[in-house]
Amino acid sequence: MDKAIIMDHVSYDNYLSDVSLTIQKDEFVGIVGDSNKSSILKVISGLSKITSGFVSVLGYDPYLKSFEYLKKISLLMEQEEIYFNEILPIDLLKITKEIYSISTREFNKNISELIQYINDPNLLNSLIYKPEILLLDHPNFDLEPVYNYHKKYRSTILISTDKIDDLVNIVRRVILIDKAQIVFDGAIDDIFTKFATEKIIKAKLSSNIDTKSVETIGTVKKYIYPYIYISVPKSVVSFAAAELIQNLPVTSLDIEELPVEEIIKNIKDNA
Amino acid sequence: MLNLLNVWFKIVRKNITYKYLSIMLMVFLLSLLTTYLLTDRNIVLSIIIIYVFISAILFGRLFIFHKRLLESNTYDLIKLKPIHPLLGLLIYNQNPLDMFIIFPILIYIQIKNYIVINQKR
Repeated sequence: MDKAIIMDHVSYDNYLSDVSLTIQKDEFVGIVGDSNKSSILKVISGLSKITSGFVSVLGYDPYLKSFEYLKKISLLMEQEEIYFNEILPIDLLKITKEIYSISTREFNKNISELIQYINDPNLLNSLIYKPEILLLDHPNFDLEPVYNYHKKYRSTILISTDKIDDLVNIVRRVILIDKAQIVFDGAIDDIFTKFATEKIIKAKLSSNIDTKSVETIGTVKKYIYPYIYISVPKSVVSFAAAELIQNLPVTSLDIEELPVEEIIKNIKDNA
Repeated sequence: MLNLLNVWFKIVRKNITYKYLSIMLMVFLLSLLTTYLLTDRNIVLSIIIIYVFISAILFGRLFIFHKRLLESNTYDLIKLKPIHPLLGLLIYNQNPLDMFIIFPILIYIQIKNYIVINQKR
């Protein structure tokens, strides 16, 4: 399989320290962790210049930002895109069509294909020229269309996000970043079987309780009335939820994966 | 490049209203008259001064737009488009008057292409 992205001992100011990774073509990878995870996307896209190491994306040096390279990648960032909001989506698509020199025939074909499962205008605009690499920085839309796009066109996709829950059933490989370094790079299933063996039950209560009464169900992680966060092993999560509803004045209940910081802590403890 | 400008013009065309045009024309004529009188009735010099003046204002506006994009980190997205960042700014600024800046850029690009083609020969 061809390599799409190669990062070899890359350092970038205080944001990345000795980061090495290889991403194959048609891989779908999630990047989770502290605030430095976006730096990986910035280095790959060519926005940030590395201080040491080697980066190659599709055989190009991203920082040179050659037009041939820029036509093969797409970066969608989390911040509100001012000019995107002021231009009608169809006009934006027309601008993109001309910037990326797409023929009218190809443009119409791509729109009719993509519109079937993509309804976010910014995402549609990023994919209209069928980039080989798609970089999503904290996407605030549903990832299902991105997954469908990946399945259909086998492009390389990298997503940086704060919540690992977003990536379940979407990506196979996850990279965890902590303090500018990669602490985990492997299958998402491994994280859940080895390092995230517990789930968090977040319950909203209608009256104040004594936390001791909950300790038989699980470990109380945090209690700020009206919310209580209880950590329970995955195997007994449904039983624990039922117990909570029966024994406590619960008005609503949510089951979440462990926060990324705790998963990273577990990985470090294991190491 | 020309296709891109064509699309840009189609988009900004809706910003050009009769009111907009009449105000612009009035400002232009008044400025021209003033500079004409101030430059001892030298029409060529007046037009050059007016052109430089308008371009300076447009670049000022463009600079403000650039600053706004930098503050929201959106400028990064323009830098990742396979076009020159200045052209990207002009396209997304959506100001019909930017034509004043775009024309010289177009002429510059045409001359540059001409020189490159001749050098290859």
